Amino acid sequence: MAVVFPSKEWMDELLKKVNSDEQYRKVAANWEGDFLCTVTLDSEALKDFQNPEKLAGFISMLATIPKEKWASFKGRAEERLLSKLGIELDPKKVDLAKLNVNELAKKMAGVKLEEVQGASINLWMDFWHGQLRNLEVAVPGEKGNARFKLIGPYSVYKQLVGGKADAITLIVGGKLKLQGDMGYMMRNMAAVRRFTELMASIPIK
Amino acid sequence: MNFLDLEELSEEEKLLKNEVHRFAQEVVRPASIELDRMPAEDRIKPDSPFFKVMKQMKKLGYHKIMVPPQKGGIAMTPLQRCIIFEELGWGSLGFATALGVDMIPFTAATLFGGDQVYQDLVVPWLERDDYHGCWGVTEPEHGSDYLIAIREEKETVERMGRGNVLAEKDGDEWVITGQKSAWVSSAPVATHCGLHAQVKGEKSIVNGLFCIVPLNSKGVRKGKPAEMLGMRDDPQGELFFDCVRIPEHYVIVAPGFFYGVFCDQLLCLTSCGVGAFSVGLARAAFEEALKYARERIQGGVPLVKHKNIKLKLYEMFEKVETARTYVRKATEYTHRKILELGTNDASPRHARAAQIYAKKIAFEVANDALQIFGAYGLSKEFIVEKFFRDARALQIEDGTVEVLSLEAGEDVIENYEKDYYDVGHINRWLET
Repeated sequence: MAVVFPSKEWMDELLKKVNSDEQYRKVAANWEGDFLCTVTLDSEALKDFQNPEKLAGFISMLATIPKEKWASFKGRAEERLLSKLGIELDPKKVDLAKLNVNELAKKMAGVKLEEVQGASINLWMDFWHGQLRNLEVAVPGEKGNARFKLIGPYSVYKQLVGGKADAITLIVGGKLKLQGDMGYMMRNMAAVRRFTELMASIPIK
Repeated sequence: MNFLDLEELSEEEKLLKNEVHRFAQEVVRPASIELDRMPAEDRIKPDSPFFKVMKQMKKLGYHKIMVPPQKGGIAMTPLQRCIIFEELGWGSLGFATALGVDMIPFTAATLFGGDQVYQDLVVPWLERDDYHGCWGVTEPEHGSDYLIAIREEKETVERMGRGNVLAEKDGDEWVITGQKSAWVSSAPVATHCGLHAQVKGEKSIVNGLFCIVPLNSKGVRKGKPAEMLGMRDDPQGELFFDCVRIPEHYVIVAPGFFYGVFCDQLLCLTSCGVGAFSVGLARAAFEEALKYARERIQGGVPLVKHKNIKLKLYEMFEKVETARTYVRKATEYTHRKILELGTNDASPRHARAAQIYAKKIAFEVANDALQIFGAYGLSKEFIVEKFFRDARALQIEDGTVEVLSLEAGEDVIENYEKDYYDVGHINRWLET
C-alpha cells in the first residue's frame, strides 16, 4: 500500500520492512550505530504541503513527538511555520490529531520560504545488529551525538525515498551531507546499501 | 594464435573471445599500424582510421560493458570484460586505451551521477557513435603525483603546489579554468572530458572534484596532438579551459570525503582494465616471437632449437600466464565491489598490483620478443617494434609504475592485515 512521505505511516512501514528483511539482517549483523536524518524544508516541501494528504502526513509525524518536548521548537523556524498555519505549539491549546488539514493546506499557499528558512524535521534511526530498534522524530538538539548524521533538503530526500536516486549517488554528488565515522561506514556499505534499497521499495503516494 | 585458457571458458565465453579476437585481428590491428605511421595531425582528421574503428567498437557495444544493464549497459561478468580488454590490448594498446578512457566520464556518471546528467550525457553516449570521452588528470605541474597525493604526507602534497585546473562555484554553475598537459589520452579526438579539478581556494589537488566538461563548451581549446614514441594509435594532447561554465549536475563527485573514495576506486577500475590491456599486449609480443622463432632458421636450425631462445620463450609464457591469472582475479573482486554490489570498497593495493605487474611483464616480454627477432626487431617490417614502443610507453602512461608502486606500497604498509578497505588515508584530509 502506498504511503505519504513524510508521515507516521511511512515510519511504521519502514520499521516493518527493515525488521522483516532477512538480507538486511545478514549484511548488518555487525552494525552498531544510529543515524540522525535532518530533512530541511525547501520550496518543494512548501508546495507539497499544500496537498492536504501530504500535510496530514507531515503533521502525523509531528504528533508522535511527546508533548513535553514541544517546547524545544520555541523561537525556531518550525514554530514559525506552524504559527503561519495558525497552530500554536501548546499542548493545552492544540490537539494535532484533530486539525482541519484541508483548511491548513490552503494556508500553506501563503507561506513563503524565507519566512520559515531553516525549518527541518529530524528522524532518528537506531540500528543495532541487523535490526532497526527504534525510529522516531527527534526534536531540535536531541540525538546530537548520533554516530551518523545525514543532512539534506526535502526535495533530495524525496528522490531517495521515492527510489529516484540512491543514497550513495546523492552523497557522492554532494546533494546529501553525511557526517560521522566514515571508516566504519565504508566497512559496512553493504548494510547501508540494503537499508536504502528497502527504504526506496516503499511505494510513495 | 589459439591457446589453452586455464579458466576453461564456457561456450558463450569462447564465442565472445573468438568474436573480439577476430575484430582485433582484422580491424583494430591493421588500423593501429596505419595510425602509428601517420603524422599526429593526420591521425585526428575526420577521415582518420581512428574514428572508423571507434565507430565499429561502439556498434559492437564494447563501450557499454562497464555500465549496469538496467542503465543501458551490456550484462557481462568480470571474466568476460577481461576477455574483451585482453583481446583489444592484443590488437592495439592504443585502441584499448581509447576505449578505456572513453568509458571513464560516462561510466562514472552512470555509477555516481544523478538522473539529469545520465539523461543529458550518458544516454546519447550509449546510443550514438560520435561521443568520445577522455580522462583529464595529468597537468603541466602534476603527473603521476596526482595518483599518489591522497596517501602522501600533507606537507609533501602542499609542496607539490596547487592544481593547474581550478573549479569555482558560481551560483548553480561551476567555472573551470586551467590546463591539462599534452599527455591526456584521446583528448584531441574527444567530445567530453572526465575532469579532475582542484577547488579554487583549497590548499592542494587532494581537495578536488570530478566533473564532465563537454569539449565544445565556450572557453575550451585543444592543443596540437603530440608526437609520441608509443601508443600513437590513441592521439594525445593538451586541454585548455578558459572560464568554462558547466551546470552543477555535471559535477559527478563533489569535494569532500567521497572524492577521495572515488579517486581510489576509479583507479581500481582503471588498474584492472590497464592490467588486461597489458596482458593482451604481452601475449601479442609473445605470440609473434614464438611464431618467428619456429620459422626462422639460424645456425642451421629453427631459433626454437636454441636453448637460450627456448628458455626465453618459456619465461615469456610464464609471465603472460601469471599476469592474466592475477589480473582476472583482481578484476573479479574489484568489479564485484564496485559494479555489482556498489559498495565501492575494492582493494587499492590488489588492483594496483594487477596494473603494475602486468605493465612490467608487458615490457619485459616485448623486450624479449624484440631480442628474439634480432635486427629485424628494430625494423618497422615487423610489428614487435611497435609492441616494444607501446610497452615502453605503458611504463609511464596511466601512472608511472614507480608512483603506482609507491602508492600501493603505502596501502600495503598501512593496511596489509585488514580484510576491508580502510579509508584512514582519506579521513586525515578532513581533519582540521
